[in-house]
Amino acid sequence: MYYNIHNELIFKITSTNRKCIFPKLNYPFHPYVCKKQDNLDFVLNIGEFRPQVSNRNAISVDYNFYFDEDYLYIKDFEGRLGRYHWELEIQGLDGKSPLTINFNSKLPHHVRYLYPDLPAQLIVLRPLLYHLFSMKRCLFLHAGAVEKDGESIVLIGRSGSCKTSIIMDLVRKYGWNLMSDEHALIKGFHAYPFQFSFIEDLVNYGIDHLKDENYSSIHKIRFLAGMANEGSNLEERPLSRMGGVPIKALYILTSTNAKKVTINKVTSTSLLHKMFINNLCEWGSIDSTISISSGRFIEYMQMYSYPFPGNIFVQGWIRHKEVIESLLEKVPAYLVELPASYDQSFIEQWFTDIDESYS
Amino acid sequence: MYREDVFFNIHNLVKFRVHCPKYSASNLMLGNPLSKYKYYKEEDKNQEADFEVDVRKISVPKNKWHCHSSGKNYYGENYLFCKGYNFKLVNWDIEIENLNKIDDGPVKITVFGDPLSLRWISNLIDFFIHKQLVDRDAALVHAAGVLSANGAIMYSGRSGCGKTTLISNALESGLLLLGDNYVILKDGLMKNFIGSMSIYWHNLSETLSEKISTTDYMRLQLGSIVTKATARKVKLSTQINLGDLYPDKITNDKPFTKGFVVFSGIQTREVGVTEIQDKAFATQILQNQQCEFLVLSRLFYDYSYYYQQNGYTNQWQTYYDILMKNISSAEKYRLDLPYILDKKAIHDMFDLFTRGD
Repeated sequence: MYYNIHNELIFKITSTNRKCIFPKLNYPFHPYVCKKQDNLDFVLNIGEFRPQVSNRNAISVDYNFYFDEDYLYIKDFEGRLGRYHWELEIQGLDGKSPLTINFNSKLPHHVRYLYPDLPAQLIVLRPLLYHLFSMKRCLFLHAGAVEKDGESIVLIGRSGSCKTSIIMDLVRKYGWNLMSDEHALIKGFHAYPFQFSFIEDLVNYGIDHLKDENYSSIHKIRFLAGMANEGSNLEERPLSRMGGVPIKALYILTSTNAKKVTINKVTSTSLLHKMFINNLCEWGSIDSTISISSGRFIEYMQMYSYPFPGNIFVQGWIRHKEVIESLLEKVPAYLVELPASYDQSFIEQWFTDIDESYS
Repeated sequence: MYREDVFFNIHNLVKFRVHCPKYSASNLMLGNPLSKYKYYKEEDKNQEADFEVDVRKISVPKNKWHCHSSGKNYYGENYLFCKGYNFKLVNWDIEIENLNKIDDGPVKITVFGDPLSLRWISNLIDFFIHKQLVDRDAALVHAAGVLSANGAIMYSGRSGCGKTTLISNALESGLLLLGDNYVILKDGLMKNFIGSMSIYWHNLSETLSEKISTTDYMRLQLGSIVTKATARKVKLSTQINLGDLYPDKITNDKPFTKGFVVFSGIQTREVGVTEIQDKAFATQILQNQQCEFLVLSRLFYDYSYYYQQNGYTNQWQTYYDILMKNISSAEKYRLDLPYILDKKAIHDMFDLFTRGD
């Protein structure tokens, strides 16, 4: 299938075509499906492949990593006693030609039937997108974004910082529109809506049925059942075609042991660091769906920069900082310290403060 | 009674104390991870340590935290707590008090995990040794070190590049040792760091097999059976301590004269040498060191989200500067080796070391 994300990235994923129970999980980029395209940024092939490693004079690092100048081949595993095994091959790491990524994995049975292609997209695709977007001077942040009256705000925070609860309340009570919950795409000074997998649906479900982001098991089952019921026709799902919305402010949420909400305007250097680390850590954390740490890709890049420290592709991670810097020059940013347990009164307190600071 | 309390002193640069259970199933099978530092063990325990490692259960964070994320990480200005830290095969509960040494006294690290993940505890200790050395204007380098006629030689590379092969052959040809997995650089001198060498069945040379104990010999055999049975997916190495086996072959404080960064190419047939500049050499060593400490780095990256000004994520520039100071007078090479080291390659390699040009 071909995908086009806001005309910035165009790519193709060929999958194993096995039947799966949760297509939404298996095809997390389904809102961006498009017709056949020519100028592809990369191709991801999921399924068995024959590695080219024996034809190249690759450098072997730590037994399971093989690196050449524009090439890498990796065998790795994860989970207790290595339940997940995978091999990954990337060609075209010279930063000029389109990438070809081959990924093959051995999975536990339940994953194979529920969402066979998901591991590939979590281990490789999501961190890769973050990287490729920054090569195109876009920002792909681990953040939520909401829109109201043609302006948007972006909420950045590590997991557990009540980001989702706040977004839910903003939508429910204050008339904001959800743009994204986990992945904010920013180009210039505009935020673009971004849907990944079922995350935005889950938030919408929460807005209708729940008080905060703590889903009880009954609600989880109801949500999953609803998702499985929708069937496998991905085309019919509504997709928000909203364009870019100017960003009014960035908020960095931190949950602390304080009793009260405090808001401070912060300098761009400390913010730059926070936004960078937030992405690095978030896509390095354990994914709860399949308990694979998707940050392995960042580890691979670190390993790759050992024999090839000057590689353009690896250097691209640094360019990410430049993009953040240019954004921070124009958009005001605030550090918000929240008490550890979420309370709806936060928002009132917070937004009265914000209104004062704007006026 | 069932716990031991050991004190280590590495060249008066790093002093640390470890409390841990004396007996555990994984120690019996795979050897005690602490035996790695045996060479630096000190009988006098009433000294001030730079850091203390305690292996015991942890329940809840102490009231020293200010920020928290995902309900399992709690961070303060001088404090870190993480329940269920999960990375690779590591699964730890970890608590660090006096993290940035704002209070007096040692950094206190408490860690608990399942037996398999406690195998990684020596990586944790190595990381804190590394940090302590950076504070003392010295650098820990992931490399093997031997002494030739002209001075100390450093042989740096990721695992699988032949460090162990080098050491076992150096012993055969009578060279003196400075380190098998790490060496310490300070003021242009190479100080020894004798740890335990992870060896596999195929590393076992004749002189070694005469020296090692029966238990280690059994462990090696067990390891080779497991490796074969799992089609090389699980590799169990055996730790042997060279300080025990060859106490008379260890030397210290020798001027650093030659450095090699080693890459093994799977299509390389001949040994290739290229001279490289200071910057390139230091960058390779730095990258190697960062790769070596990936397990804990992730946790400290997360910590630096909340407290950017900490000594752990900001140490790498200092480390690089220390390296640059120490390597300027040495000869530096990039060495390309075949993936499988045959006798000829090893001979060529030794030729390079002992050549006095």
